[in-house]
Amino acid sequence: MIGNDIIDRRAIRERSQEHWDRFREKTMTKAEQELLATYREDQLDIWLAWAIKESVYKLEYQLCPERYFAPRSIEVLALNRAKGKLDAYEIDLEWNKDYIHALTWLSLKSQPQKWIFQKGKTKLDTRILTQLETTFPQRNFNLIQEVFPRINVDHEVLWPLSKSHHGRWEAFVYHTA
Amino acid sequence: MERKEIVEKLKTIIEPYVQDQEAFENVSEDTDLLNDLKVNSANLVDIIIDAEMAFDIEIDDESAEKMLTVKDAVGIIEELTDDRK
Repeated sequence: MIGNDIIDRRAIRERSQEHWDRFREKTMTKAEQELLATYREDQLDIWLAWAIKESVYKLEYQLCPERYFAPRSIEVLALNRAKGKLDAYEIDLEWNKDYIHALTWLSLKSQPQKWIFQKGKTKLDTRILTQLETTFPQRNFNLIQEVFPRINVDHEVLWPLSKSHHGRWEAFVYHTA
Repeated sequence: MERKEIVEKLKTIIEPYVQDQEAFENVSEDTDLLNDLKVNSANLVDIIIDAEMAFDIEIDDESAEKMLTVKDAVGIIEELTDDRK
């Protein structure tokens, strides 16, 4: 089970300070606001927290496919840890001036593979298959989308997959088990 | 405020965040904000905040969790604006 989320920082609309203050209150707990207080410039704190929460949500949807919208029910504990329906998820968080990317996986599992790139003419699914076939040339892959995406390997096993896109950026992550 | 008036005002709030314009042209009260209009979840927070400002109301977490369709959103706004009377 994995999840990921990418945010194109240039695709974030300019809004009033009041809007961002309300956004912060609606999506972050007090503890999260304190934890991320040093990242308030350009609302980076909001988007770091949001990327983590979205990636956790996507993982939780794989655990239990039901829709819910409760951003504060998932809590960022540190830049590499969060909790939600489970007490602890591992987080890999990467950001620069262009994008923010969060990857979530279950504790005790190894870190998943991640790929981030700018959108082009090639569809995301085609990119995923090309990357898999290049990395594992002896194996056969098919992507399936039944409630949530997975990779069918050699018609035998399923690898967890999570896809994300926003603005100019796309990302996918997968686990080889 | 009349329900029809709320629907029209809400449509103007939602429109900037819609990623499926064709679905928006055929919007009805049963339209799902995320699945049909392809509004992303961060923009759903924006819509809630914009609605709070436009209707001068406060939408709490419990109500926000229920705002999945246009009908849900209109019902919540109607209830909150009625409470002021």
